[in-house]
Amino acid sequence: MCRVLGYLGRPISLEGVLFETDSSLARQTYSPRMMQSFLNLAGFGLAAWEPGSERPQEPLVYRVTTLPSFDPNLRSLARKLAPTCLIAHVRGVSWSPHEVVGNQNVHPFRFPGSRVTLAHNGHLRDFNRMRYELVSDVKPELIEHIGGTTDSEWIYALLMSQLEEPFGDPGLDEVAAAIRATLSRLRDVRARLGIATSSPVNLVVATGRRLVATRFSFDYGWYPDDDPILEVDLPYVSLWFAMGSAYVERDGEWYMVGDGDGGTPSSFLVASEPLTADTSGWLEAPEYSMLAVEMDSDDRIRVETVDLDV
Amino acid sequence: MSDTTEFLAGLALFAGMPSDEIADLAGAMEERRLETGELLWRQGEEADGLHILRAGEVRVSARLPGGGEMELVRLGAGEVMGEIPLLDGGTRTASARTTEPSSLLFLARDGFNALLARVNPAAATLKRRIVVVACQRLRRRHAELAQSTEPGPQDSRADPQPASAGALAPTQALPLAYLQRIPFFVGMPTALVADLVGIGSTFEVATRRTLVGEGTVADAFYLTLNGAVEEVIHRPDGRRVRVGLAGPGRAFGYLGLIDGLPIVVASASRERVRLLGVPAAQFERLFHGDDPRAHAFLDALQRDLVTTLRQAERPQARLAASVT
Repeated sequence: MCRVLGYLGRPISLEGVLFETDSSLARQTYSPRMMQSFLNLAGFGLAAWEPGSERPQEPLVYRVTTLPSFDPNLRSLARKLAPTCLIAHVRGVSWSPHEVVGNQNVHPFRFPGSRVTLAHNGHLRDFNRMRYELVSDVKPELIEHIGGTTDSEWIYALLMSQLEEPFGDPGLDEVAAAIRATLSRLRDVRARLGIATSSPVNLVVATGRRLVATRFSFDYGWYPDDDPILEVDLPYVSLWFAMGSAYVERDGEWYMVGDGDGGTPSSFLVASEPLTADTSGWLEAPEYSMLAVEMDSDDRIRVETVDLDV
Repeated sequence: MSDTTEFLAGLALFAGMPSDEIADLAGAMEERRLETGELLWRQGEEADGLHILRAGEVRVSARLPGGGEMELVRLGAGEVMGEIPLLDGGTRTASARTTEPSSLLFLARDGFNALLARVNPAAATLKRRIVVVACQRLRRRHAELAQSTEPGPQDSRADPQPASAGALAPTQALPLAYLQRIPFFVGMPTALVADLVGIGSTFEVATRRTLVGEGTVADAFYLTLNGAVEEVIHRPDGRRVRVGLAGPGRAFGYLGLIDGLPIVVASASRERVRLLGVPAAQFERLFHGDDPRAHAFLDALQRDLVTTLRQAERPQARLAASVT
C-alpha cells in the first residue's frame, strides 16, 4: 500500500527524515504505525532538489528495490544532502504472482527532462481493465516513456498530459488543475467500466518550488465481495502534515519548530503518517482534500487547502 | 458506608448510584499519596486507568513542538481524570504532575474490565456515565470548532440535497461475514450481530444527500455499512467544517439520543451509502438494557464514540502551539 513523504522549504536533513526519527520513512518499510498489517518492501525511491548542486532545477532521482535500512549507498547520500524540495516513497504490494518488483515500478516517477515528479500511496482497483482505456488520454510523446506496470505511472502520465508544457515549469494552479483533471478522467473511465470499489489516490507531486498533495479516494467504503485485505482497505488512507520554521532534532527528538518568519512558515512536511510516534505538532489532512504548497522568492511557504470534489 | 464510598457518592460521575454499587467500584480502586512535584503520568505514555483527586492539586500540561510546555489546566479535590482512557486506553495527550502533597484514587483498566467481565452492574452504570461524559466533551469540541476562526479548507461545493423517499432504497442486509469485519461489529458473536441488524432497517442513499439535519431532534441511530457519510458544522462565517467522516462500521447522528440535545452536526452522504438505521425507541432499550445484546451494543457504541472524540480533538495540537 506504500508510504510517501514530501517536503518543501528551507534545507532539511535527508538523513533525519529517512532514517533518524523514531518513525522515519525507512522504519515505515517494516513498522508503519498507521497501516493495518502491511509491509512496504517493494522498493524505495526519492527525488530531491538541492540548490547548490549542478543543474539545481533538476532533481536527483534515486530508485532501487533495496530496502533503505540495508542500503549503504542511500545512507551515504542521505548524510550529504539537505534538499529544499523532496519526494520519497517506499512501495508496498500485496502478494500476487502478477506483481512486478523492479526499479521501473519504484516511485517517484519522472519522465526524463521533466521537473514534475509524482509518488502515489493507494491503488486503482481493476486497473488492468482501465489501462488501455487511458491510452487516448496520454500524449503520444509521453506514452513511450511509460516503462513499468503500475497504475501509479499511468496516473503520472495522465497528469503530465494535462500540462500545457510537460517539460516546462508549471505553476501551482496549473499543477492543481492537472490533478483535478486527472482524477476526473479516472472517474469517467471507472464509471464507463462499472468499477465502483474503493480506490485510494493519495498523491504527492513536486516540481522543485511547488508541491501538491492529495488525500482522496474513489468510492470509499465499497469493497469487492470477500475482499482478502478488507482490514487494510477499511481505514481512509492517512495523510498528515507539519509546517513551521524548520524540522530539526533537539535532545534526541525531532520537531517542526517555530511559526516561521512573522507567522509565515518556511518549511512544509507532508507524509502518509507522522515521522515521530509523538504526533503533537502534526495535523491530519482532511479526507477528500488537496494541499497546494508554493515557495516564493523569499523562500517562504504559502499553503492552501481545498476540498477535492471530483 | 466507608469513607471512600462516601467521598465517591458526592461526585457527579457517581451521583445517584446505589451505595453498594459505589462500594464495589471503591473496592477495585487503589489509594495513592504523592509528594509535591511528583509525576502522575507523562505525555505519550499508555493510559492505564482513571484517577480521582481526593486532596491536593494536579497541573496538566502539554509539550509543544520545539521543547516548550503549555499549562492546560489545574485540577483540585473531587476532579476526575482519565474517564475516556478507562474505557479505551490510548496514550496520554498531556503530562500530569502534583503542585502540592496530594492523595488520589486510581481505578485501573484491568480492574474495571474484570468487573465488566463479571457483569457487575456498577461497572455497566459507570460505563454509561462515561459515555455521557464523552458526549459532553464531543459537544464542547463541536462548539469550539463552530466558533473557531482558523481557516478551514476551501469548500465551494453546493449544499447537499435532502434525502427524499425516492433516495431511500431498502436493501437486503449484508453478509454477516462482512459485517463482523467492520469496526462496530468486530469481536461481536455472529448471533448478536444478526440480532442487532434485525432490530433496524437497511437502506441505500445516493451521494450528496442530507441524512441528519442541523437543529433537528435525533430520531434514529445510523451506522454506515458501505460508503461514507460526512459530518459537518456550518460556521457563522458560512464555511463548512468537516468534523468527521463515518466510513463502514462507523455510526453517526446519535448524540442527541444520549443527551437529549438538538443535533448540531449535520450528516450527508459523501459517497453513495448503505446504512443501518435503528429507531430511537430501540436505541433506548439497547443503551439502558441489561442483557448480552445491550452490553455488546454499549461496548460498540462506546468504542465508536471514543474514536469520534479522538478524531474531533486531533487539531488541538495546533491550537496549543499557537497560544504561547
